[in-house]
Amino acid sequence: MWLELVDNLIIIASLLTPLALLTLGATMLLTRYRSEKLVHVLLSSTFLGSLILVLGAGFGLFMSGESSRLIDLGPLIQLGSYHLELVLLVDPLSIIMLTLNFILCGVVGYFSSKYLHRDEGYYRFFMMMLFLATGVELAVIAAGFDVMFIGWELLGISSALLVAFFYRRQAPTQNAFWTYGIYRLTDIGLLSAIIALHHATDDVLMSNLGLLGSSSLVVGALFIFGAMGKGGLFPFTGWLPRAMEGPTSSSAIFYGALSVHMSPFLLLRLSPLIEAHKELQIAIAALGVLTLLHASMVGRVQTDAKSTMAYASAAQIGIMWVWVALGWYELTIIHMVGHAIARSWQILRAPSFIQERRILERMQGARVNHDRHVERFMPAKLERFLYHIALQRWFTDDFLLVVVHTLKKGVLWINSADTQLFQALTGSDKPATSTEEESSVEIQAKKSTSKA
Amino acid sequence: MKKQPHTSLDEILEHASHLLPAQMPIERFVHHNTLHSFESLPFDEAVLAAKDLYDAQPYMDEPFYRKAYREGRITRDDLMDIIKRLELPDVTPVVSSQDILLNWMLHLPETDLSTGLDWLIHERKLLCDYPQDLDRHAAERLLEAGPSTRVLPTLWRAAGQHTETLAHIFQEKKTSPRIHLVLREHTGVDLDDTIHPELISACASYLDQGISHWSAPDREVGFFDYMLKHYSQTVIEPIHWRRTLRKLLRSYKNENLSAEDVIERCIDALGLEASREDFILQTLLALRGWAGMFSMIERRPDTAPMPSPPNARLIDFLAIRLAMEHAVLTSTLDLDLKHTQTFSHIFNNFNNFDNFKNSEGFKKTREIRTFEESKKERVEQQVSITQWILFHALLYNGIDSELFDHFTTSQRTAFFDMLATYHEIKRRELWQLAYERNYRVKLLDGLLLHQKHKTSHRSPKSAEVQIVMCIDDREESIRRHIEEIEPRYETLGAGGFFGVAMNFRALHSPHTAPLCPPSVSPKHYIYEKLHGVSEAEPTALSNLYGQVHTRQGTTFSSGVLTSIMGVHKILPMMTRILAPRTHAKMFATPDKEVFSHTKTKLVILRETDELTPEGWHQGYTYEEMSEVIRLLLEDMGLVSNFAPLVAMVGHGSTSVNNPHGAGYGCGACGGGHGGPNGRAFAWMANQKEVRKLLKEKGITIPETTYFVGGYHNTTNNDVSFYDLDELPESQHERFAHLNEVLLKARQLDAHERCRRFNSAPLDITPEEALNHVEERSEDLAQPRPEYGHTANALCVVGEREWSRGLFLDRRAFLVSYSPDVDDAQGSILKRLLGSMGPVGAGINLEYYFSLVDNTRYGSGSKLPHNVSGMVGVMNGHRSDLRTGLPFQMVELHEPIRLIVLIEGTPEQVTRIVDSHPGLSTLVYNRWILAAVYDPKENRAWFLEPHGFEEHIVDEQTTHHRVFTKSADIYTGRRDLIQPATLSSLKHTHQKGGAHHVA
Repeated sequence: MWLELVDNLIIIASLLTPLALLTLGATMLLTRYRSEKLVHVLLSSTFLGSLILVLGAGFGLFMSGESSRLIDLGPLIQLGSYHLELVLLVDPLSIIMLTLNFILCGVVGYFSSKYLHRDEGYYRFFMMMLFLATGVELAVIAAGFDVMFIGWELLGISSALLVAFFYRRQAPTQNAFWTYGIYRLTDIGLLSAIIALHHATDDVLMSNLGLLGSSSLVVGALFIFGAMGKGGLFPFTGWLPRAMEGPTSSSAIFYGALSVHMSPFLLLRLSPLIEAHKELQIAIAALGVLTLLHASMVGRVQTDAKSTMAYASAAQIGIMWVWVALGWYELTIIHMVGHAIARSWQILRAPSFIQERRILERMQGARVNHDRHVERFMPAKLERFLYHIALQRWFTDDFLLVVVHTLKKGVLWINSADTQLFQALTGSDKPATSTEEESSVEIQAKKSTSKA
Repeated sequence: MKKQPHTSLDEILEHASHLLPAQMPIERFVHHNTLHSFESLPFDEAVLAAKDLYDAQPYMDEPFYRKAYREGRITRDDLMDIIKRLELPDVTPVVSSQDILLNWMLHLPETDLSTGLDWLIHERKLLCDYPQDLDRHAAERLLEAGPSTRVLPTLWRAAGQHTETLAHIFQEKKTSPRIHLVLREHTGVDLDDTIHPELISACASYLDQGISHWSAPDREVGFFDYMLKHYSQTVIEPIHWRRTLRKLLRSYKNENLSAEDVIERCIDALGLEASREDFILQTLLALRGWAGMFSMIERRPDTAPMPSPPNARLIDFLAIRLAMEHAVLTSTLDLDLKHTQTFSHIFNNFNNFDNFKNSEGFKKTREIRTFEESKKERVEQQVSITQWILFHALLYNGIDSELFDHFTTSQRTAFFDMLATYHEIKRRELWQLAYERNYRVKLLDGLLLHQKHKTSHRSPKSAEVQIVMCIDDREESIRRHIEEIEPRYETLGAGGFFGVAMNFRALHSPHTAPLCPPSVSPKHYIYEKLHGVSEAEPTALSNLYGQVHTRQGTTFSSGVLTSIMGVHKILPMMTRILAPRTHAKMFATPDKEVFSHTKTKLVILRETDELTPEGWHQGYTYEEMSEVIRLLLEDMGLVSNFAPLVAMVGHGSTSVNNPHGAGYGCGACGGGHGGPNGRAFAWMANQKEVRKLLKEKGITIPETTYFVGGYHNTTNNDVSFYDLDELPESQHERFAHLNEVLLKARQLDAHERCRRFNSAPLDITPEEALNHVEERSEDLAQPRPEYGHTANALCVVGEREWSRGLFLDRRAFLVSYSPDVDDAQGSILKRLLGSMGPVGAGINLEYYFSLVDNTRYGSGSKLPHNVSGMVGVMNGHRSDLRTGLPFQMVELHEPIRLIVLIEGTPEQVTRIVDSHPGLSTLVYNRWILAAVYDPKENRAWFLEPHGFEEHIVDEQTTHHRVFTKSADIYTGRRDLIQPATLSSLKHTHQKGGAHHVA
């Protein structure tokens, strides 16, 4: 009886946000009707309603005595013998994450409805927020990695679009592109892992992780790579401060609260796989410690409020990875929830930095010592070197750029070699005006414009 | 801004520093004229010069004014008045020049067409149908000429034949002394985008004064040497141009070069054709926020948040910037650092430059167009735009091609000249004049008619309570409400620092703030201490709280603990966001908690002649106090007829999540709040010795009069008073009544304010309104806690008598002044205008420019603002420092220049203005608009460029509205309301006893 209640409540709860999304989307696309009040009402009712339903479901799960519950909603895709099932997993972790999702989205949404009043992107912001909420929702109640991946992608796109919120300036769009680039790069790992899983076990349910045989180590490594992007693990931490281009409240909800925590969440879902391999545990712990060191050191030299908070966030995610590696899952969950609340609250108050500092100083009766702390004890030359490295963020972004450019050069070389081979084989003429350095891309472009 | 050649580098930088944003570190935010350094030019010339220099808008855009015209904010009369004053000679017999210009102003389309001319022609059916909004005569002429399908294309072709002559009007001068544009054209590499992330990061780390946990080492050697030291280190640098930069800086370090040497070298390497001054100025302006902050800390280190700020010099900034540019150029063109050709030589011979084709720069570009091709495209586009403009210029005046052919050569030339003269920017200047005229006419009409309608012709002779508030425009409404509720009270206005220019230290604060106008350097030090305690000690609890919270950084221990325990924050988070006012009342912020039960006193009287370490006097002597009191009382004209209770109420503002908080504060107190000033003044004025000295100077304050200091918070509308433990028994009843009056006044004032807040419903009650504004001041999510000086338009200097009861919609600074107390030369008036004039002008012009171009002059939207280094805000992750007012502060402002309405006669005022150089610059260059009012004869004059013109009101046609209650004037309306009369202020009997209340 309880389990039926859980099923129904979860299904309704998970439908509310997509419904709100479709309503708002349809209003924006098909009509000229714009009302801030409508958005406000729609969002508060959706999030509040979902929250109540989720709490009810949690209660139901608790009363039933079960530790988890699978809800099979039938096939998502069916093509001949190939089918993917839409299965939902309700367990304490998903209930907690859903609760966190709806509480924080609700509170930050309420905040944003006043904060973004009269901004030209008001409706666009809330569309993105609904995409976020849907994405998180799907990702946390998915029993299979396919549905999780859908949520994961929704999260990625809405993140990037919110970084580019002030698209009329160049910097936000460039930084959004960078953020999205990192996401896609690590998604290669995630997608490869899912495909490998399906290949090995004929399905993508999370419970299938135990069925992986010899390929489990590789699959695990790929999954870990996939989790590195969203969490800002080293060497991908550079996108977190860049993502502060969006409005304060979006920075709070995404990079303080929800989006970054998808990273340790994914690891928690991978726990059977991780437990099976010492190598994976070591890798995760190493990455976590490396991230902690990197983010702490670089965070200490940041001179603006939001960047400081971004790096603090990354450092904590690193620590959560270490907890997962050690197998301390309950601590990870407590840390995730606490951190999500504390950090989003801190970022929402980022503009108050100066005011809060002055209050602090009056409390102490003295200025805050912002000078070097432990660094004072280093020899001057070492301190200067480390400071410079920290300010350059350990050149992580720069090295990534170099890697990307090298790859691009390689691809273009392959392309031009291929074109030359083709032309040699088919005997077509090279254009007379081309120089050796013109890439084949440019040659193609010239050809097509001259035809047009 | 005189154009003398400045040769030495120091002189050039000195000149440049005046053209950089002059904004102090953000806690000291003070309104000042954004174009302060252009004040020696007339306003209309200055905004154009600034447009060229800063690439900023001089006026609002034409659609803004046309919308105002459609809505009736600008009338046809306004436009015709402005146009008539131009005295245009007629160009053609067909239609008068005035009508030509009027039609152009109303109809000529935009010229900012990057592409899509063909599309526009098609979309608007330009060559098919006559436009709907044609002037009647023009339409008649065109219909006579023939059907639209024939006339229009012919006209279009005719316009095309004259484009060569006119093309010079629409030339876009996109030349720059810097090499930045040329580099981008040739290689696609943007110099600024490449350098800025690095330069901004360096500047921010160098200037940081309190955000980072690890502050930059080696800052004491100066920015230039700091950069040399840091960048000479051996690191693995992945980015090519930065490798070049490191080599360059290392070579500078090895050769022991100074900043001046480096600048000379880099300028030589560029091979400039333009002047050095222009080049250096434009280079600095490329990152003007940070350059301005360097300059500010160099010139005024006392404004920095930390007591000993880093050694910042503008010359160092320039040297590093030029070194970076040099590095990017060298790297992009793949040159060796020791190359000998100058960069401009290279770019002039670009097509022969073989070296380039192998370089990184070439490979970066996706589409190479030669410079010539793009230039040709630009010229083609100019020609089409000219045709477009000429076509419309003729069309909207009903001049078809046949008619135009019959123009004589001289007529045609005159027509073209007129078109060239009244180009878009000139037309916008005229629109601006019409926009300002509209308000001025309404104001002066209202003022003159008000005298006939108000029923109270005399302020109460012996007032019960006199309330002195700041001249701030936000006080206009609460003063009006106080006068309306209690006619026995008199209100006066004076600069909110009340003449007490002091360096003030609040209880337990480690900082001292100068509470006075920014132009004044205070010499006295006053601090607040706990009553009955010799020294102020923070409690152990507050100390612990402070320690815990500062370490909430990125270190392992504090970060983990705070995060893991973060769950408990959900409750304060939810209540503070969902119910800010309740939260504020329940969970007082730490400082309120600690200090709510303390009684404090100000230490005002000088006890020792020793100076403070900064060189200030400790407190005041009685003689100094009496001077302060005397000057202020004379300024206000309050030298006799003192009420039994005089309240000196300073003002300030509280808001949360607002780095621009000081912008809402009291401008006369340098952005702080004037509560301590009112408190200090009241204490001084109550001292027996001071009153004795004042009596000798001619001002007798009766023994029965008591002064009390107070503080009006303009955000949450709170009014509270200080040192009430010293209030004499005899005043208790009077004071209680004052509080009752103030409560009602606060509610009504909040009610009046709420009509401008969209989130407050129009039918809100005064009690609810007070709650609403309290909530706004505590709401983290509210980027508009109050509207500050929005809509400020007027500064009234004179007796309150003639403006009392006139509804000015919170748009007026009200300065109390009495000609009866003044001498024949008007020395007091001169003193007042000299001090309050620039303050008002600064506020008004800052709002004007921040609205007109919020991107260049203002700081954009508050939403992406990120506090950097405790000195300013950036947009998002890494950007230039944003200066000026954010959009949310100015969006409801009306961009009009301040009208300073002075009591007197034109001759008197002219004499005074002429005798004060600062004032005459502002007035005669029309940065402020002067008007004069003579209450004895009820006549008003406005200063036009040629002299004072009397303003005559037509009583038959002008509708002046009269109301009995303030609320009736504005209830149900969210827009700005023209001056109206409150007739309910009755006068009282002369003798004490029975009195009538409205």
